[in-house]
Amino acid sequence: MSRDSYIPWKIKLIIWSISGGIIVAFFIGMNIMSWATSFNPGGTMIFISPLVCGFILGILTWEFEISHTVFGTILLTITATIGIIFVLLSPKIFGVAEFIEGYYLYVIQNIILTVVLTFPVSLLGAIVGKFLTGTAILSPQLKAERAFIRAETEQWYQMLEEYIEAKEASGAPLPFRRNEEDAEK
Amino acid sequence: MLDKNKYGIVDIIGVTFVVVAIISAGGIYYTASTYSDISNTLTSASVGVTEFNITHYEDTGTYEFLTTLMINNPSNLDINIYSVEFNIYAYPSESFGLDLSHYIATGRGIQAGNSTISKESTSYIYQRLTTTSNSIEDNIINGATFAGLSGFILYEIVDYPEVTKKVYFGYWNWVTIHES
Repeated sequence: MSRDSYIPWKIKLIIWSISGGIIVAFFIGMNIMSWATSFNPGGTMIFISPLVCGFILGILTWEFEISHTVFGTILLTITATIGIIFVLLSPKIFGVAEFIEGYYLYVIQNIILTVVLTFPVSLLGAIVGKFLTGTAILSPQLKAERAFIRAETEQWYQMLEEYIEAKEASGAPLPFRRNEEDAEK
Repeated sequence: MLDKNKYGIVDIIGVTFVVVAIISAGGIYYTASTYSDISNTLTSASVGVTEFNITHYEDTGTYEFLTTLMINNPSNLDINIYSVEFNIYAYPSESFGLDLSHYIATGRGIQAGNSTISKESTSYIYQRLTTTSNSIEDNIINGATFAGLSGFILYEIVDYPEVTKKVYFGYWNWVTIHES
């Protein structure tokens, strides 16, 4: 996230998440309204579309924190739900018809279906995409640098432990506070 | 530090993702507008009885019922009437209410060539029914009867044949029996 970019990473995350939600809403909406449209993607797309969109979101957010990716999938789910609500309530939104009371129950059922289908499936896809992309995109040089930093950190911790043991053996107080026990002393 | 070529692929994927989303948004709006058009048709199309005549033919002893239905379709989708069905009742007075024992006859069918009602238009359907039933004569007072007409039409939206609806109509009024 430190690389140069005209668009801040937070804006990118929001744009990508909303885009994924719109795509998911399209396929789920088409499946619900298959009787009214000539394009019917099939029932399996309500499972495949959030999985693929989540996977792509994971690819796009490969260098972000995992919490940001999770936020992205939540925003994706919310956007998809809004899209489904818009489709199902479009006659009332456009002011051409009123609904009977039983229809709102049908809308709520489809909202619940959208949320239950979209969030876990897209989250799974995002995590898998993030993991695979991080593994594939990280260059060998960067991997070597990370391995070197990890080894150097372990070496520093080992040196610190040896220093503490030597101080405790000689009975001299430590020049720093390790834990609450040292604070009480 | 990173492989620049691989970083470019991620950007391309991101741009493509957004483009597909824009196209999908158009598809969502199209679906919503289609659903609105269908809903508008289903709620606005109406039917009413504009004319109901009874003619008695003395030579054959038959009674002919001529019904004119006005189908109003103010929506922007064509509809196709594929079935009409109605029952005729006759009463000697208005006080009988909906007494089904005064049933006279049932009419079914659709006049050929007049089944499609174009968008934003009104059309008329004529239904002719002849019966030799004498039960109507018991309900004629001074050459007229309080006739009841109750029925429905079944129509489908031409562009979406799976969408059908039943619309009811009714007519209750004094009708003079024309002698011929």
